[in-house]
Amino acid sequence: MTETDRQQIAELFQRYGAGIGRYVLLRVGNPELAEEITARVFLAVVRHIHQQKGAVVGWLWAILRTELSRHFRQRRHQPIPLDVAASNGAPGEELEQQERDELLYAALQQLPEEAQQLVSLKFFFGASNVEIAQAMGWTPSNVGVKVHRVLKTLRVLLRKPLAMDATLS
Amino acid sequence: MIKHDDLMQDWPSDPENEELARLAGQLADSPGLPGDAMSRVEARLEKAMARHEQPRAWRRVAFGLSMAAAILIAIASFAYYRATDTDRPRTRLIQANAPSTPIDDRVSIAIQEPVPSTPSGRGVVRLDEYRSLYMD
Repeated sequence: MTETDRQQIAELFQRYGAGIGRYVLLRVGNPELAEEITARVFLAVVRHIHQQKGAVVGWLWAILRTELSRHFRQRRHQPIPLDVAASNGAPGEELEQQERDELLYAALQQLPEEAQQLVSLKFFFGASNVEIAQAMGWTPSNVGVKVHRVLKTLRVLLRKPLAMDATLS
Repeated sequence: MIKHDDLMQDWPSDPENEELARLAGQLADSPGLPGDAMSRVEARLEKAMARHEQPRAWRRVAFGLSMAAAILIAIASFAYYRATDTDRPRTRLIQANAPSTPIDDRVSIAIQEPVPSTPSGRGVVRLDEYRSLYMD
């Protein structure tokens, strides 16, 4: 590993580390697991930095997906049920956040793979339209249009459970 | 943290944009890993990078050692040939002291007179014996 590689990895961590952590936390719903998987993502970055070519966000996304798939293969995804969290004495605000996350996760799961990637890169990684365009092979303005379209779909999907709650009450 | 304008970059004009921007903001502001968790991840990352640098350091040491060994072998070889080369001046001295008369190296050879070959009484092909083969 060269000094340039080291610098590049440090920059990647500074730029995308928190975003990757947020996305993983949303996916696994457990901070300790999310920390472990985020660490694995960056350990994979260290191992494969010499293979990195092209758009870096696309490359990071591929590593993240691989690590998440590995995790879900090894261990069935079991989000912490709300009543268990409540019994652990979690404050009400945290419970609300957890519920929002679960709804968001469920809605994201219903999106096509490309749309999931787009939302993740834009809102979790914090990648710019230009970076996303390089990763996806689109134009930057096309990215904006697609983000807009995906958000509309996501909003519809997020309203569905709320509507169901309203009918139940 | 992503700026509000960045979230809405290149969006087409739409009356629902404000609402969509709120959703985009919620997504962008979703909670992340705690700071201490990220610090632990960073520490593991640093450790992994240091581990990956070790082989490089070993390669450098190995290269230095092999270069030193090559230089030592070259010096030893030079010294050895220099030591064994002391015979050469002596040889040259002997040659210098040798008489300058030319070496007469003659060998006498006796050449015999050529013996004429005696023709044999029989021909190479015995025509008479095998006449039946070609006679009608």
